[in-house]
Amino acid sequence: MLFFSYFKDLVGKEVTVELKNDLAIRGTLHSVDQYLNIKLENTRVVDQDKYPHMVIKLSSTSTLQVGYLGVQIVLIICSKLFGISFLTLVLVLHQANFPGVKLVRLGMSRTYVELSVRNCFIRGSVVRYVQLPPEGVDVDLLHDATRREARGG
Amino acid sequence: MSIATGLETLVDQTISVITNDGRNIVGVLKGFDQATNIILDESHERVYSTKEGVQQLVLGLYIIRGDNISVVGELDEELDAHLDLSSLRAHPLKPVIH
Repeated sequence: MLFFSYFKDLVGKEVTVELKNDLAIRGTLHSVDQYLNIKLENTRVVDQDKYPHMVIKLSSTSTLQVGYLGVQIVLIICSKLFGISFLTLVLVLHQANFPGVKLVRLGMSRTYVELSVRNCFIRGSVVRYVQLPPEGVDVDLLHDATRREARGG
Repeated sequence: MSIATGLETLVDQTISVITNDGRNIVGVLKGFDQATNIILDESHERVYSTKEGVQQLVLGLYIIRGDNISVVGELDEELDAHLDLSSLRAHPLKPVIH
């Protein structure tokens, strides 16, 4: 019961849970139960490139600076499809010398990552390690508690 | 016991399950018990490979024994719907070694 109550005290802290399949998930500890099943919130996978299984959404964003009637607007385009069609529209207007439309600058595209799994439940039996925040570890307190438990309560 | 430890908040929601043998099954959670046995409806498996995009195999109604479950994740359906699975490549997950 010692570790159960210890983990209960850690609720709300940021932890990294390493699983027995080498997957490491970082998130805020939401709750823990008697089997040491762990619920994490706002999760992210530590090595996301290697493990997109928690489902990553990759989208490229481009910035587009457009001048219209002397006013410059910076647009951030997220969706690939929308971005391309909009860019074509601007280019066509630009090519056609449509009054006032001017393509000022097309920014480099960036990729950003979103995880479609934000909260997860991890079965206690597959946890290899839980990496704790240093401020969540009170060595003296644990020391006493383990001794007390070993003595039989 | 602390607040909402089990899977009750996920019932009737789309979840993504990673099993001990490294499979990824997505479906609607219909039920569970204290051993984390779960009932999934309208489920499908997502097969990851490095050679081609993610393949989806339709499974239907499934019961997964708790012993075989590693992770249960709540899936953001809106984000998930926008995923381009055909271009997603990854090594299959390793099995759990106890």
